[in-house]
Amino acid sequence: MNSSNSLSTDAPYLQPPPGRRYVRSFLFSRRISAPFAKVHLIPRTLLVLCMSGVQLRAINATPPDIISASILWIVSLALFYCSGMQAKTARIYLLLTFPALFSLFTTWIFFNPVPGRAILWRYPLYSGTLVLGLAVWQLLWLAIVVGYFLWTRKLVTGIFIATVVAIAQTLLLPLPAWTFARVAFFHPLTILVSDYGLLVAITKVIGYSGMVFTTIALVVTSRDAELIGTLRQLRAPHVIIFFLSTVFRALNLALTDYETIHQAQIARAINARPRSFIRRLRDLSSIAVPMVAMMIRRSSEIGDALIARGYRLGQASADFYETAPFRLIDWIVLACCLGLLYLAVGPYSNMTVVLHLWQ
Amino acid sequence: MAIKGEQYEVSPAHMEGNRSVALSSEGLWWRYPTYSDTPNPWTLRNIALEVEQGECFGITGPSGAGKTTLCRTLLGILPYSARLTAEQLPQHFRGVINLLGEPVTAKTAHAHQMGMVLQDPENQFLRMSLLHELGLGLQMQDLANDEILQRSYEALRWVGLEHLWHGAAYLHPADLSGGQKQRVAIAAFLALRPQVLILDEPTSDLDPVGKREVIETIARLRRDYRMTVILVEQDPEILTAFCDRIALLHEGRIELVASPADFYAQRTILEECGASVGELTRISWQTGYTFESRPPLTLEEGVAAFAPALASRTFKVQQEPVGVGLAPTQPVGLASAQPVVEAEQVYYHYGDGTLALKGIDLTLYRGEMLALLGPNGSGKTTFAKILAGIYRQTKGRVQVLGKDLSSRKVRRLLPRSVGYVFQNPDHQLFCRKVSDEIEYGLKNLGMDAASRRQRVSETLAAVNLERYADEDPLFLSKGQRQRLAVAAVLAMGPDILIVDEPTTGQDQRSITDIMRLLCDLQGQGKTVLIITHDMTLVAEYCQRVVAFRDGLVAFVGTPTELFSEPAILSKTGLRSPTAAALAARLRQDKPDLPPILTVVQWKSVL
Repeated sequence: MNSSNSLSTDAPYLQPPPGRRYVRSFLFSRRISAPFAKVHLIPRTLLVLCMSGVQLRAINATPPDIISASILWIVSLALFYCSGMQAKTARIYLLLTFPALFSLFTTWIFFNPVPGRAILWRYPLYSGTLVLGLAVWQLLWLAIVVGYFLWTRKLVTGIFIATVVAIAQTLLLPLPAWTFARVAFFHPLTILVSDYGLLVAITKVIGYSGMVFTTIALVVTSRDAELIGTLRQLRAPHVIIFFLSTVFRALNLALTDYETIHQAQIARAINARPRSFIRRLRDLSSIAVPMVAMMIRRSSEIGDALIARGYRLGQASADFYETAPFRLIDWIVLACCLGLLYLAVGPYSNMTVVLHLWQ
Repeated sequence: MAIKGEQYEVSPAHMEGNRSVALSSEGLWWRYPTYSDTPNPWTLRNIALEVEQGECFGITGPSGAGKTTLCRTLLGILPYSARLTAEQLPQHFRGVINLLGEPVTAKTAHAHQMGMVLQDPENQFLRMSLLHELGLGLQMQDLANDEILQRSYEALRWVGLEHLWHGAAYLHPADLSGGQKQRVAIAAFLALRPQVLILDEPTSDLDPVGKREVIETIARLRRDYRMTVILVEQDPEILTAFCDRIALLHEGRIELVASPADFYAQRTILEECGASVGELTRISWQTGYTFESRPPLTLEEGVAAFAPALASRTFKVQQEPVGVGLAPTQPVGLASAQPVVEAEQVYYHYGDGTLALKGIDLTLYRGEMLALLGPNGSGKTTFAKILAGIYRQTKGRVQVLGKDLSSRKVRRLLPRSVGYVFQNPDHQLFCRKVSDEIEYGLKNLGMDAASRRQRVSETLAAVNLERYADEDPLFLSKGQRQRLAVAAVLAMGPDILIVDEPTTGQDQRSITDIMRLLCDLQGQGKTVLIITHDMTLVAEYCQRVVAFRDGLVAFVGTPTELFSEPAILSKTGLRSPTAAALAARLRQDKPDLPPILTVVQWKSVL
């Protein structure tokens, strides 16, 4: 694949501005010299897709291939590091990722009872029948929820506290309960932690976190000019290329508007009182009014600016330092992609089994 | 027009002796289409213009006069992008526009003979890097990359931004200041080598530094390249400095076309139409002193007009400004006033690590109107947002009405005490009814329905918007939307009101309306903090000034101290309003002349 540009990377306009280390990409900033950004967007995207494919294969293998998932996780982490993301932003995203992965782990462990070679913990959660009746703990629960709501106007926290108190009371001090009927519903639920369940959960966490790292690395390193160049190389229609380029710029403006509008909401006492979930949703929706007003005003001006620059619908435009030629590193990455593709769809050898870590 | 070396040359084909017409219109009418049966009123009415080649032609007029519509029509965007059928067209568009002797058609906008720079620099930056932004129009012309590069670099040099060429592929719009973005927008059109450049209020959204940058660019285009420029502008000083002729547009009609000297001599027409006029003109109108039988337009002309009147007068040497019975210039007895805001060593770091505030110490007093000045990025808005509880200071102590803003609970309830009105009213109108908009903040504060209704009706009456109570805020004029934004904050009953750039892009009547409202609030004992770049407004309305520079307080004092001390002006990077600059100039020859800051003070002196 050849570029139509006589691209001389020594030209001053293609050099980083003096004294600058970071450049803005789609949503973030990245180091100008980030190694992963030096790879062409096509092999970079294919690499992320192929690695994700192999990760999914490793996760879904029987037994889960924790060794392959771990090796790919290390590669993903290296790519994340090589994306040149600002350390502070990277830390924030890591912090945001951990709760998601933890909930994935606990959800799998507790709600997917797979028997393995050894059961580590078992706790019956639901007997399979609904009990219709009255109990003192129910009154206690209701009193706490209502009382807490009247006091603080917070519902979810009240339910949480009442539930904890009700469970504690049931365990520590059994109080009277009157059963009227028992109705069979669903099937019994048991929390069951087995060695196999643990293996599946850990492999899933490793696999999905690896996919998160590579996806972030791809987004961090990509710039709009690069995507437009890639679309040109892929012979995408000019209308689509131009549309996407305008959308990226409009999104950038919309993000700035959103930030200001949210600040205006704070100035109008949006945080003055605790807000219920419904009210939060309503407040979020009220942002739509100024956002739409701003977008209409902006789109009118952007339209004028486009026409004044000579744009017509379907207007073709020449490539101008957007496409990039394929270099040796890109071909090497493409070769790696082929290998990964083979692992993702071809015959699979489970490394965990091969190394006799699980039979 | 062809390019030779670095300069444009006017093609002889369009020259008729020394005078040739670049752009003309005759009997031009336009009205916007509507979806109802009732047609819209005409936005442009019988416009007849003739702009000569190489001329800088100014267009001014109040908000809603049709200035931007006229620009869009001259460029051919209207009516040709309005998707009107052949039958509909005569109902909306009449008249003829010629560009260099050829009629303007649907193809004119794409022919790159005319360029148009808009008011908001953000909306015309269409790509995500400087290099691609400059090359966009040329790419569409299918030019070779070397040609695009050469033209882009030259255009960047013409607007004085050649230092940005190094790394142009990496420079994002957010990396540039407002002034730089506007100059890039001009450069993007210059690269297309247009015959005529239309600049639609190119400086109204910019800070003084950005304004100066763009003005210098326009001056360079006029001086070095003799480009035909149509400049739509509210600022009389800019129009006077650059335009050969100025047209006054009012309710879609051209009411006056004259040279700047003759234009500002037409007091009756200008006052009737609500056009903005400069301070020298206002002094001349108020006092009757003229320069060559017309209002002076420059400081030199001002000195010549007013110095003889002052020569025979003697003044008692004093440092305070002359008392003229104008409330805003009365100094506030700060020693006895009650502090409402006390900030000590306030620091603020943005998420990207930028240190916006570097140890601010400041006290605000009850009932004062205070101006927060400084160039963009100096930290004034960041500080104001800390006072409003929108940001939390990284370090230091801020107390508002005795409450420490370090506490999250205090910050949450702060809108009861501190109101913040944003620069653009469209960012802060959340509801589809004017009365709901006022009620929005009150609901958030948990006020009961009966009290809310009463507060809404009181507030609407205070800002004179009662008859619009059921209207959609989006259909109000910009001045009304600005008043509504103030009202919505005001309804929450704050003791301190922070107003960000209340007069940007507004005509003289809207400015007077909004400032009258703020003065009324000050009269009720509220503290008003205005973030502004408008020095005339500071001189006329504010008792105290705080100037920020590079995240530090560079000056705290009265407008008189600021505008009468060249050293302080230099330190803060600010400029005096013309009335104050005139007094400073005249004091060189007449040292006993007291500091004079406003037109009203000049009237009392003369």
